[in-house]
Amino acid sequence: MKLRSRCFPLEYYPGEVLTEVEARRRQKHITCYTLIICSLWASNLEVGQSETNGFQTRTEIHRVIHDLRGGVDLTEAAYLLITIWMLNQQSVGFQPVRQAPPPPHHQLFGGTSKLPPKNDFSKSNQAGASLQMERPSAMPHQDFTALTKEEKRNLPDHRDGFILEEGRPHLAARYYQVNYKTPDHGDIHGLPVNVTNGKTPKTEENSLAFQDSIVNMPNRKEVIWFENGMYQGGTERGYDSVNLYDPETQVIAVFKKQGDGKLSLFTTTCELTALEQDHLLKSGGNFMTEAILKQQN
Amino acid sequence: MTYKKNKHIELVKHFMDFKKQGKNVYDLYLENRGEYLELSRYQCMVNDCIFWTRRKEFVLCMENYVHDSIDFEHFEIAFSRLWKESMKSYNALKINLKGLKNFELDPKSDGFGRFVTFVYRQFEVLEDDKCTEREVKGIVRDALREIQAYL
Repeated sequence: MKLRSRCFPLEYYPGEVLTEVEARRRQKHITCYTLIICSLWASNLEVGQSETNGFQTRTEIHRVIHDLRGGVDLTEAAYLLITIWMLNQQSVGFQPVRQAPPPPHHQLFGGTSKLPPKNDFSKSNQAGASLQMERPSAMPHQDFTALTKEEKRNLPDHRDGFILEEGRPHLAARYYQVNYKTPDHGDIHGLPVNVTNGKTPKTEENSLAFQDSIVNMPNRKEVIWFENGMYQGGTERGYDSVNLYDPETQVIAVFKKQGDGKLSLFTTTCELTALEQDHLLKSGGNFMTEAILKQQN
Repeated sequence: MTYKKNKHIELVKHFMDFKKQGKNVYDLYLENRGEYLELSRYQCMVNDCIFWTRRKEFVLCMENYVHDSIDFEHFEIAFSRLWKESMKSYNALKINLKGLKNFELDPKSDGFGRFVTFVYRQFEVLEDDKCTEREVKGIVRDALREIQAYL
């Protein structure tokens, strides 16, 4: 008798006709496969929805089910079982879910970690260690990669320092920019230096002490505010800035003005020579280094 | 401009009295420009001379770098140390009346400081990725050539 088994809830290939014995045999196989797949499916559901590999694995299982519903012979079934076994053994999607550590910028912005914030520079105990900025979660990847190194160093951080004096331009010393300048400029703010290379170790502690010194410059006895100053004004590298200058120590801190005119950002700090000081005062706050002054003469 | 030690010391004394009124060098510039300009000029000359007294060390360091006896990192460390030590000497001397009395300025030093400071400032230009090590070496080579007149 040639018939289509009514007891099968599965569909056959269109036009395929099975004998009753063949239909029962397939039913047994498919019941077995279905149990395996259901088991795999259940374990796969434990995998986070966002994991791409898990999603691909489920898609693969859909295809397997579809094939089974169409009916398979033993060779195909063997391939399918091997495929399923390989998926189960090797697929990332089938691996136990691990809690990923929060990215560093989440920790920077006071994430959920109860541990004290760590210094985010893996080599930060060494002077001159490379800066490893992480993209803030709210910033699209394209926007982040389009930033210059200086712009990346000026992304907000909870360790930023500010000078917010009434009637004065508001200034910020972003942590990463301060950290970047610590090795070569820490000594003029009284920080210790390494005897072998003369640089201040680039630790978080030193960077914050350096930042404190800059942020406290307005409290120095003789400090001069050049609210409409410049850095290398009149040259290619020049820009408008707010300059704080302490003539007692001949130390200047430069804060680059931003387009929005609200907050000026710390860029550098230097000890001026007598000639550089002279030009700064005569020009009303344009800090020109001797390198430029020499070129102009 | 000729260096006049007694005049310089007199201006420093005036300036120290001026500071006791709670004023600074910028106030002096705004209130008494002539006196400021003269004092500033003397200060620049003293600053130059202090760099100049270590000219042989500066030149040796630059030559070693230009001739590849030392790499950039060692050059930067050695040169920066010389520059900073010179600035420390200058800062200790600039309002030290006793020190100024004993100080002998060599007129040959006039303008020397700008060559070494020119080189020193390049380190930050490089730090900010605005130039390359090769460009720094070119600048050192040029400075070395110009400095020969001071040796």
